[in-house]
Amino acid sequence: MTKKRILLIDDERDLCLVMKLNLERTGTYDVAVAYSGPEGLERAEAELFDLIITDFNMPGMDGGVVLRSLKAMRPQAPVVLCSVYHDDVTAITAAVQREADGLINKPIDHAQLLRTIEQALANGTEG
Amino acid sequence: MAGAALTGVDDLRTKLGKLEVALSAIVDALVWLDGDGRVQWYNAPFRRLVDRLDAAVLGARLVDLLPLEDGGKPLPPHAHPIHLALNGRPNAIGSYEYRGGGQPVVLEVFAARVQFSRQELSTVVAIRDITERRRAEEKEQRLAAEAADSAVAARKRAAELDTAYKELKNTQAMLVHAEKMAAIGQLASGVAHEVKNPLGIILQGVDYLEGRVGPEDAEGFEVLRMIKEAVMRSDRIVRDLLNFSRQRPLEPKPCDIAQVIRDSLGLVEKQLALQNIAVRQAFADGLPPVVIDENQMKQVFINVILNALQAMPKGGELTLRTAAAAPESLPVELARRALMTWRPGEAAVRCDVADTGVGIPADQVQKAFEPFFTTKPAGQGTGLGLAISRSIVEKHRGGISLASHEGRGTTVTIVLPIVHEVPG
Ligand SMILES: Nc1ncnc2c1ncn2[C@@H]1O[C@H](COP(=O)(O)OP(=O)(O)OP(=O)(O)O)[C@@H](O)[C@H]1O
Ligand SMILES: [Mg+2]
Repeated sequence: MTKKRILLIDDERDLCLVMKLNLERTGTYDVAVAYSGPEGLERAEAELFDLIITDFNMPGMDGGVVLRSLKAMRPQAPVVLCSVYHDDVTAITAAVQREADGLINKPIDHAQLLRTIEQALANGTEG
Repeated sequence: MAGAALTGVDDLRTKLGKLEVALSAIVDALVWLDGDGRVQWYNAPFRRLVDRLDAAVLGARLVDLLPLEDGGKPLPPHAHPIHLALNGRPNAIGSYEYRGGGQPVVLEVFAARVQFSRQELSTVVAIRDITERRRAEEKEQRLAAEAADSAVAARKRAAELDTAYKELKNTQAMLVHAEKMAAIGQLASGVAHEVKNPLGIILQGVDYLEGRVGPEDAEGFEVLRMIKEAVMRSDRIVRDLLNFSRQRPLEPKPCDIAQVIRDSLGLVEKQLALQNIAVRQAFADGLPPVVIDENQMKQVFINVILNALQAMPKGGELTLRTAAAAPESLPVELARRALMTWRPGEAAVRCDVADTGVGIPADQVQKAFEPFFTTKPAGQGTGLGLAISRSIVEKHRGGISLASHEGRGTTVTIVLPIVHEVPG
């Protein structure tokens, strides 16, 4: 079984790196990282990913814009949004919440992250 | 002899003339009356006073010439000082009004009975116009009264100013409080965001290390579990802070307040059973719906109920009450708030959450609402429950207050105005 390719977009470098380690340790994922919205979009345009995880709260370009651009670019690739705002409806508008294939709360619990990813992937292959 | 006698009579005449002139030169009116009260002699001021021709004065009865009034009512003849003087009261004195001479005046009448011989009874009456004196006296009294009034007024004004000042200080305190909360909110949300990411890295790091340590290293595993727990605890604090700082706009809908309280209670049911706490619910029938943000108000009730539970570690009784509330029946600070924020005539619902717990020392009651004030062990309380609750209730234009007896229990009272139209 080929590994699923994940693109992780977050301005917090160390977080990206540990998450990458944790996800790759499962043996099922191959993780690429990008440290900003524009960088993430560039990667997503150049390569194919099975799933993209993006932070919501980033300087410059926020996760909502990244999410929309990704959806415009590759409608099939599921996108998981992670944020400290998760439960705040005013920060992440309902529209953005609907467009995302998964939401995850920061600080990210590893087990929960895995569940969210699996679910998003499953929905993606169904849809 | 005759000449001398004549000279004596002339002398006497001269003397009498002089006397008459003298008596007419004084200010008081003088009359000499016979035993029937008829005028025998009078001086010039008297004539001026009664304002009649001489012919009409001599022989006329004084009661007719000088009709007096007392307190605006005509004085009956038998009460006239002359009558009194003639009938046994040797000296009768009184002051009366007299309006026979045009302008009403006040007269002081002094009547003295004079008995020259057995037959000859007569009366001398001296009449003094005391209008000016009276006026001056009245003015003095009025001034005194006014002075007294103005002293009262000044005291009243001072009291008003004092109240206004206190109100101002209160409003100011409220504003300062609101500003403080806003500043804390901003700070908190800034800090919370900064802290969230490092926490995330620690958590991910622990997950990574768990994979590396392996189950055979029980000690290593335990240390990692402790780190993870500490991270979760910090995260809870940060989440509370974010909740607190987040000024979520209200989404008000008409709600049955009793149902909102029941729902909130439902969320802590397990804990109630665990702690052996009896719940009494006394919800008033027929209360009108309140227009509130249900979720935010639930948060308030949950905070308050949790505090009550935490105050009764050895069990006790939790009482939840609702009632219609008139502003005048509220605890002072709520009533004051009500006066300032409610629309005239607005009705209110009052909710009490009472426990039989440890209570709060008097000097801590006010502090309880301050953000970060907590008496609970680290990890159990952030001290934001009541601060958040107050800010939510006040957004609803309501109020929350706390009354406590140390060792006996605490009652939290929440008042919400009944709004007839949905705001904003
Ligand atoms: N019902 C009560 N009985 C006794 N003390 C109370 C009660 N409610 C509040 N307090 C006191 O007021 C303090 C502040 O309460 P508040 O709810 O704001 O914070 P907390 O309960 O300590 O922490 P948090 O609610 O953030 O978990 C409490 O620590 C406690 O000392
Ligand atoms: Mg509390």
